[in-house]
Amino acid sequence: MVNAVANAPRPIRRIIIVGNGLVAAGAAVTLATTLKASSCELLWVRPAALEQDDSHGVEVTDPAFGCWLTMVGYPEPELLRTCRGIYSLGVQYNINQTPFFWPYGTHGIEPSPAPFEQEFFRRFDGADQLAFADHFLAAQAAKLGRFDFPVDDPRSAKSTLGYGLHLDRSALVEALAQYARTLGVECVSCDTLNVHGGSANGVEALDVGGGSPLAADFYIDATGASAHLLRQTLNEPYDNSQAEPWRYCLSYSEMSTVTPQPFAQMLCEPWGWRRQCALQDNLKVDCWVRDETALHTLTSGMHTDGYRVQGIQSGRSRQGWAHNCLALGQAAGQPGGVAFSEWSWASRCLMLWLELLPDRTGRPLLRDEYNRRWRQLYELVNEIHWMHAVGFECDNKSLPDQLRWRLSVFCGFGRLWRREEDILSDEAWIVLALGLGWYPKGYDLTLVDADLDRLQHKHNKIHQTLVKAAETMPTLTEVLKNLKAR
Amino acid sequence: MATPMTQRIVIVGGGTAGWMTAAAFARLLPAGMSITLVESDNISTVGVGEATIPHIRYFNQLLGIAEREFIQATQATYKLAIEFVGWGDESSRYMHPFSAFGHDLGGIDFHHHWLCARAALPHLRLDSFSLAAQLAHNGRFAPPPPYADLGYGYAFHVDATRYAILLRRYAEKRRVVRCEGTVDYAEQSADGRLSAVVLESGARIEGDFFVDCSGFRSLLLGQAMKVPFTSWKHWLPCDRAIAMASEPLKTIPSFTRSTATGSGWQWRIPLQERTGNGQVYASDYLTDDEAFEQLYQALNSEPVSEPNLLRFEAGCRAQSWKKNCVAVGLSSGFLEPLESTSIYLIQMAIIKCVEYFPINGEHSLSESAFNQWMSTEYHRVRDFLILHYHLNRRTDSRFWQDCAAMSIPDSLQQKIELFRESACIEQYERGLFAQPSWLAVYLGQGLLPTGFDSRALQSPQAATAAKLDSMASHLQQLAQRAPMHGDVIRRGGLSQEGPAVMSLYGERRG
Repeated sequence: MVNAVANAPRPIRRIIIVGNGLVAAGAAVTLATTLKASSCELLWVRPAALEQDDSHGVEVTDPAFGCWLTMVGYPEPELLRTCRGIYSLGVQYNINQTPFFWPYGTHGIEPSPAPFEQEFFRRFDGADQLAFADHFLAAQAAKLGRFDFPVDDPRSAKSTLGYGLHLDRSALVEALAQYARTLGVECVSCDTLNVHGGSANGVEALDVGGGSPLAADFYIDATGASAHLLRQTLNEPYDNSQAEPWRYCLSYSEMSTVTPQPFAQMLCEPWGWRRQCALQDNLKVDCWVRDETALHTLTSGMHTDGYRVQGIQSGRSRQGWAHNCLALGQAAGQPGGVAFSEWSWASRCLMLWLELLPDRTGRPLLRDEYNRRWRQLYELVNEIHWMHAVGFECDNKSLPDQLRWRLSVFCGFGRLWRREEDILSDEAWIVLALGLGWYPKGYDLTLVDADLDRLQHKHNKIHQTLVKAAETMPTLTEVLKNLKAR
Repeated sequence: MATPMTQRIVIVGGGTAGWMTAAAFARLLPAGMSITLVESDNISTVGVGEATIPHIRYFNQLLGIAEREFIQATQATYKLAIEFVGWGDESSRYMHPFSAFGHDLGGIDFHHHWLCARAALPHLRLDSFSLAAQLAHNGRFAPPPPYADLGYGYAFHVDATRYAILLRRYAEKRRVVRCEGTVDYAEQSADGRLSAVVLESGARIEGDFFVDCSGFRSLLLGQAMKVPFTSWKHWLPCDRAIAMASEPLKTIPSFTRSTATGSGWQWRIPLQERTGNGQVYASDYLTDDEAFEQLYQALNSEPVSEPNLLRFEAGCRAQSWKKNCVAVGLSSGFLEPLESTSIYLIQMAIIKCVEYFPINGEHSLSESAFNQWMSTEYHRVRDFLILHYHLNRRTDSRFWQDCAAMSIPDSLQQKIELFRESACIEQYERGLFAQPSWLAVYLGQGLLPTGFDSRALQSPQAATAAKLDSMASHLQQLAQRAPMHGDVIRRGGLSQEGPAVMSLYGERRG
């Protein structure tokens, strides 16, 4: 048969993934599944000396992770058992005694004709607008410690649910590593790693000590902040962020005697943010700490020295994909981890790369397109990070321009200024913005003449329905017990 | 809970833009706001938008205007696509339907499989994989089926003057006051805001917020507020059109036809009681008489009106909103009717104006948000229109050769080169035309990429070809089972209309 175009694509035959943490493991599994039919050979090089941040602590995932598990074919219950994980309906924030719940999922209320949130902007001023966040089933269920899975029936309140997971990260890395091997990924552990190549020709080969160098058509750099391939070998420039709200991340575990709840907790502390996430048998704590003084204050009050501290420096490479090398996670950039984990950021980039997928010829314009969209992704993740800093670590003026603009439109009109590649749903963005202290002055003009009593009645009715639905849901403990029995 | 302070809204100009604005404001703005529309019976309207795109359904549903009522009032017919004749080379012909093409196979966009297998399927074209295009080819019309992968949007061919009359009736029933008269000049306060318009009769109409729907004259934004016009004539060289109605076609097509001619192009828009025809051309290349002759020769039915000559220049104002004045429609910018975008741009301006309506008399944020949004809309439509001209492969006239050789905006050049290299279509979310539209024009006008997604090679080419052949046959069968378009129109339109979405492609974006 004749090919339709002059130059038929030349599929990538071999990819080498370099790294030792979750990003590398996740990339290996993703590529093994998605490129299976292309007969692309995958080699995963795990340098033992590479101590990576993404192999410790807790992985807090959002519903996108569930889609990813389905895509790669890993059974979720098995992963939960292996990683001593729990299900989560969202994040419970507590700022100066004012709580709000940032739910996964939706509220499920159709516009009539104004979008649902506008009704709250009409009814209330200021912080009272946060009543909107109470009109999600997830928020009501979380209050009662209950959890259930979403159903595919729009008539049911449970169709509005979405859920994430809390997983022990080191167990997750090993589970995925094992799974990658069953998918045919060849795994090479090594004590030393030398990368051959340069900015002119890209990555040429890897020397892993002994034997002949390893070469491939394409390389994935998942080596964390050290970026062995992209920065150290290809000399890709890196732009540090000029300001960083939190300079340190301190993490530790503690035994927990309380029943795990189906949510993570974000607590606003004098030194920054504290996030507490339950696993089945312990509690993982991450603290984003403003500066050295604050770090000292925090650590001096701790009763354990079993904690890890890592420095944070936001920033990114000029390109996430250069030559024949795609950098993922911190190897490409650090947009900030308060709301999204390194894997969450890396997986979005990897899916983008797979959407575009080059061949062996390189495709420089495709690479440019990736980098254009990748930079947008970086900015969006970075914006969510910065939203957590305003009012605590900085003022509005310090925010990235695009975020400041979005917030001014939101506060002015109660409208979302959606951006290309947005990573949050409209509802999630609105709840977060309200919870973190941005309150719209405007609202949909069709509501100016609305009867406020009728609106209140409508909202009360929805609220009661949600509370009733939540009360019929099983507790998280019951759901986890069933999981163990399966 | 701030309440908008603007109480008196003045719309200058009737026509499509003016009455669409008046009707939407009457429906969406608070009862306490007064709305006055000033228009003169002595000034004829351009009557833009005989051919529309599916977003108009959303607008009508927002207003609560039923589709059957609309069809009857505007003598509308259904529209599923635009057929482009002679835009690649002189013999080329392709449909730009209101739908995507095919559906993903193995998670890979359909067109990569098509590029891989098309040599084995010489009897098929890209639009063989669009149900909307198949219906149009067969002179049929049916509402989109409920399964998303076959979905499509639909629009109408309308008598724009009748549409304006329908909207006027609607608006006047809902507090809009029409004021007959010609605007002489606008008054401004010391801070540069508009305060009133003064009519030739001497009558003075005060307002807090002004909407300029005065067409090309741009009485308020252009003349009073001195917002400059940016010309895009160097990219969109056509600057004149001759419009002429003729007898209705015996079989009413469910698509608009755009036929490239020696120095421009001709439209054919089928209505119930007449056919709209027009010749768009560049006056640097063709005289008015020559243009008229070309149009006349090409008519498919007897003319029923005198020719109407329109002069225009492609481009837009540097900003569409300044202080308390917003321009909607031609007063804001003009892009030729090649892709039927005029009413869409009016509609977007109205929706965004309502969304960013000034609170407490403070306009600066509204201005910025609105201008950013509309600028993106105009620029993205502009690039898509330039694409049609630039990608031509005609050798029969200096006009087309110049269009092919002209330098184009960088934003467009990058998109074309990306497709040429990898069959990848640059993605954006804001803006009208998404992947299916770019694909239709790229491939329809003969831009064959040098590569495609290598995963399309995973299946043997013969197997892919068989799958695509079966997909196209299925669509063809579905299309042939649908009723004839003329019969649907004779029954007054669909008996039930589904919910409309703000998308060109129905529920599917691409």
